[in-house]
Amino acid sequence: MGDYGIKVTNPGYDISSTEPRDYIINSAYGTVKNALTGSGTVTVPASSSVTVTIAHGLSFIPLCLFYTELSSGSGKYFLGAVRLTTPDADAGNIYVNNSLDGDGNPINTYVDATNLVISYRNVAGSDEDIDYFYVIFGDSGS
Amino acid sequence: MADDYGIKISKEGYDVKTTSVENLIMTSVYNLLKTKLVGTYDGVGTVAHGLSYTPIYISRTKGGTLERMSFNSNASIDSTNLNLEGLLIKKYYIFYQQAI
Amino acid sequence: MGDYGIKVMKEGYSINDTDIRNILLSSKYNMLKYHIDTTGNLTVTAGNTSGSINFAHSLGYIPIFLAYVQHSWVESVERELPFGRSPQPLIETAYADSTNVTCRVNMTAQPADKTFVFRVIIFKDKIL
Repeated sequence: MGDYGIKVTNPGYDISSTEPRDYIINSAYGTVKNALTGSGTVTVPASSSVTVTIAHGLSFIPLCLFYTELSSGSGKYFLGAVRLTTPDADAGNIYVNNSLDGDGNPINTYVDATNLVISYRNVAGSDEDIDYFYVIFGDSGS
Repeated sequence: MADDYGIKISKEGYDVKTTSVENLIMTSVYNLLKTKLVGTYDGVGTVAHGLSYTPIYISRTKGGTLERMSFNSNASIDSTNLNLEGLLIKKYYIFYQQAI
Repeated sequence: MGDYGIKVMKEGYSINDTDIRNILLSSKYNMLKYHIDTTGNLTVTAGNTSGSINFAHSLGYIPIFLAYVQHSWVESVERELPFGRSPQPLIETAYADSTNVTCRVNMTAQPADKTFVFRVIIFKDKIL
């Protein structure tokens, strides 16, 4: 019995190529799958922190990406757990809490088998509303 | 004879004939991010990826006793190896580049 | 009318398997589509503490992206962004807007120029 699947090469490349980069799609090679994407707005209280909890509905710890418009209305979405010295020209007064406890466990920003959890800290004296976006992949992150 | 061939699938609710690329699940016009190697590694070491170039990777770290992954990478990559750093368990994905 | 699409499972798994981790490709789940993969150098000259470099993407919306940095003066490896966090002496971050992906450096001043090689992978897929 032969080898079955789907494969499509880039223009100019032969379908018999063995170089993975010649392919646009090739079922011999997996890809990460966007199981869940979403966005939201959260109010980060003045001189305090807030936690965003996103239930992902998967039975395992998934691979995730998240992006945050740390400075409200800036249109600048930062990748990942960013902690710059605040206030910052692009990130404003907000940063991502990304600490570990004494045993090395992430305590405020992490993903587990139930949720993606992101903690934001506001160093300003007034509340700020910020937007975030996340991609949760249907692929194991642990 | 038509000269444009391929596969195209739109997201639910979008007309596959007219919608723009960000509303497509896949299209044979644009490369998908293809996975080369996926694994976990405990501690410090290297994983040979077998590619002749520096590929894209994502690494996440588990620390301690809780079943949680942080967003710390604790890894770097070159044209030969993924280099795992720190006394923690890492979960890694290595991807092929798009077209040469 | 039934459920149509394309689905390919990993080797050894039944097409009826419902665990998403066992799927290789599926039209049910969006997959990241490449837009560009590009590099650029940023030199922070001696005595300075910050810098940034823009990578134009021409998409007209804010895209999903990944970014990496090579500290060319000391190593040949690439590291995922964000790298470092306040109050560490070297922090590299990246953000996207509707025009560019921007990679940034914040660092303590150094006595010599430092050249950062940034690499960004920008996808067609949208944040906003």
